[in-house]
Amino acid sequence: MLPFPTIVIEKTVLTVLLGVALVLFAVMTIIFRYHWNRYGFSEPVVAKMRKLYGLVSALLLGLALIFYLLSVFAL
Amino acid sequence: MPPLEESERILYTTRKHWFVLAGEIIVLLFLAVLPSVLLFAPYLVPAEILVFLKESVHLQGNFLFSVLFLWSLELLTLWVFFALFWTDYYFDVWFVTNFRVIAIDQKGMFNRSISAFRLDMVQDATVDVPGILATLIGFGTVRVQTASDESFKFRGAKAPNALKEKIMEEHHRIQGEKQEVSIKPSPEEQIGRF
Repeated sequence: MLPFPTIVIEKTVLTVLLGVALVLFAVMTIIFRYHWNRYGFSEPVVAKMRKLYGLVSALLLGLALIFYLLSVFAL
Repeated sequence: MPPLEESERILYTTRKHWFVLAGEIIVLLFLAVLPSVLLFAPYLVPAEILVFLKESVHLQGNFLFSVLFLWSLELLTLWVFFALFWTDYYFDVWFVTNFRVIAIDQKGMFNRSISAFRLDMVQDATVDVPGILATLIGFGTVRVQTASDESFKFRGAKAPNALKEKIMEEHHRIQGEKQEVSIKPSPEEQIGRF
């Protein structure tokens, strides 16, 4: 017997995790955008970072969504 | 651009050395690849840890895709941390202008301080390069002591000697200009002589 409770990750837990991650990510993105727009002194570097952030975030969010759907609905 | 006075212009801009950011990136990369070891090279993980994970964590649904989903969420979290570290790194900046030094210190997202001191108030500037690595790749701490007994510090500055030299050069220029003005007689004094 294990000295601690077993963790069961159900499908609903995965859904809640995805929801929480999406909300936190959206909040952080708004904060970053605000900072970069307001205090971005040398525009080219901040503009590049803005693009890179958007691109990588979209990629990771897409992957998370695909794997979520596959894990929940795959036979 | 920081708020500038009339006829003030930026002469020198410096940020922290890339090494400061690289240290944080290495930690993030390590955390990013850690789950892949469990997934693709489980033979690298001690058997006790694998048994412990199998017994303690039960995933419902497709195991592989559930793990990949959790991993992509972890990567997303690490990516947000990277953006946070980058903002902290890039927005910590010192500007040397023809009148003063403007020091901007970004601490996280909600803590930002802007200090400025006039170049004629500078009493001393020192550079501290801590160790061989800092000497080789060129970073260190610049401390500036002002006449009002305040001390300004820029940790992990890129090319700290160049920053110090620029501050002292501008300080001497301003001191020289002040002396010239005090030596040069005023127009009334010049008229009085004749």
